[in-house]
Amino acid sequence: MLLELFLIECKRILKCSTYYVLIICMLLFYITQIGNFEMIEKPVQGLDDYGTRYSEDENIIMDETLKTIIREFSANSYVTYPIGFYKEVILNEEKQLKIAGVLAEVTGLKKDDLISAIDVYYSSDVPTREELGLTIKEDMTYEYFKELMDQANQILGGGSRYRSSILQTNAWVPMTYEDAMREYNSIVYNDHLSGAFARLFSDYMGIILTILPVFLAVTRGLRDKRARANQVIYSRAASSFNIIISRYLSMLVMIMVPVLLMGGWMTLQCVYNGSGEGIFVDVFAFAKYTFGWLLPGIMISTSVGVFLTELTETAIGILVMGVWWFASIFMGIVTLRGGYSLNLIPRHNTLGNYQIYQENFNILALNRGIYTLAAIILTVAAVYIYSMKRKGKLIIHGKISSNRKSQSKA
Amino acid sequence: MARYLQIGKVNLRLSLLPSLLLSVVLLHLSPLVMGVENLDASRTAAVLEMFVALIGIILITPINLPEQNKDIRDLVEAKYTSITVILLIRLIEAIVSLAILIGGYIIFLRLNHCSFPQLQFYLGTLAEALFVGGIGFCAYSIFNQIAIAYMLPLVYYIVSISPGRKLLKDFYLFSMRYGSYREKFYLAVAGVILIIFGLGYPYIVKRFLPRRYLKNGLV
Repeated sequence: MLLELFLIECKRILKCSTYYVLIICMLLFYITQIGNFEMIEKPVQGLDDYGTRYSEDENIIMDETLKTIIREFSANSYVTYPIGFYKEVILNEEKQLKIAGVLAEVTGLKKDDLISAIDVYYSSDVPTREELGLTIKEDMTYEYFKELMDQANQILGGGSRYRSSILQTNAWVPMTYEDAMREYNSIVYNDHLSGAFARLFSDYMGIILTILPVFLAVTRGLRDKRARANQVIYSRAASSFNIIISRYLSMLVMIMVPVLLMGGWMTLQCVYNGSGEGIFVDVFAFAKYTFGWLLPGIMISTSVGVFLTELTETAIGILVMGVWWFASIFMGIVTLRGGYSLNLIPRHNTLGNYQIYQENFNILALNRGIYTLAAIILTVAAVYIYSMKRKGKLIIHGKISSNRKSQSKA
Repeated sequence: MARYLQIGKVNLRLSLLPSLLLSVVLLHLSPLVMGVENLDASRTAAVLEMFVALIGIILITPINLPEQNKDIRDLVEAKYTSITVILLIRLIEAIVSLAILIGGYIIFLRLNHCSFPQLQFYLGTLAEALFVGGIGFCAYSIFNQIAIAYMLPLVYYIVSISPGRKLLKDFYLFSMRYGSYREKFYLAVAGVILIIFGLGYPYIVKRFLPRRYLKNGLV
């Protein structure tokens, strides 16, 4: 029965204009963002510029972060990005003193000495930062430094550059030939070429695939209402579970098909270019990333649409998902080149950077796992609501409280 | 005239109010998550173009929504007052609300010591809001699907974020950040054209398309 319903739903989706608009939007986004990606080239020696990278040296990271926080402390003007938009935070005296306390712990100076050292440092060119003792104290460990910076971030209300997860982003350093070669080898041997491109593909497509499915789910949910087919469907023998799950699965499959085709196309390009360079290409990389990285996003977006449309019989799911998406996309700007978090849209907007991916794989897996679980819970909740409506309960016609005593329609 | 005022009053309460309240809530929430004090022109433009202008989608897109139900649409079309007049009244109300809300937000930013050219930024934000709302309104008229109506302006916004300027050229949404207002003129003109097309589309369809398409819209 489930398979039969699933096939019927797939055919319905094929007749739905929203689906085709969705595919056109997806294709448009794909073409404009990654349609003409350039293959990697082996670095050659003697170039002036090999790009930049985040430093992995803990001492550099700590020192650069300290420089930044001292400058912001002195001006009492801290830059934060709570949801990706710039926000200047100006602290009151009490909170400034708390920051001073954190800095005193970092430098090993007394709080009063630290404040006067910073005053002197910014009012005169003569004593250097080192001479004033505005450096990381000798026995400071990186772990403790991260803890202290998290405290500073909390005092600032979050979204600052002192979050322990993104401290590395304070320390940009120019890449050398050796760095560039290391990155190249990592793409060739760790990612087998296609892995690096699959991550970039997931990064871009994750943006659009976390919002578009909700439109299809809302359209499908409202269709029965518009056609006034609810009463007819309610009286059918098929179980609520089969009806909702077949709809849900059909939407997932129909959205995944074009995504897999795009991934397949990119795999072919990788194989073509890789074979010319004698690089072994992982032909399953795009499929692995599509299912592991993109599918949970598609699932949560679809389930929010299915659940809220079943519950309210309105298009409110679009608004909820839209607000969530908007906040996630701008919050993700801070970890644009990897690093991840529990953000709905994990970002990895760079080719390669395998080490960051590997180091944070557990967070990424947890992230995707949580959203998959949440999507399953919402879908099961949608099944429950649907079955209640079949029994004549929760039928709202736009007003949640208006129909407590409604009779069974089945 | 009294009839139109009465229509306007009813529409305001039944049709526009939810969108209006939602827009007001979103604008009120903005200081919690983004800087609205002591901003320079570029950062003020980012707030106005990337956030405030989105209320155009919320206010203008669902103008047709009350007639989504075919029975209601048939009933409204059978009335003496043309449905176009009703839509026009709703549109005027939505655009006036948009102008007031954006104007209010501009004053709010100014009071918070943001420095920016107020009139240019006001008109620029209004133009963008009109354009994204116009896409939604036009899409609704064509597809008769609220999901598509919201999807298209949002995708346009997403495309603008990333490759945006190079790809969209004169129709780029966030040009004020770079001190350019030419794009806003094009957006305003395109927004008005989209809205006029959206209003006229049902008549074009009735006149030129076979009857089978009319039964339930194009979907």
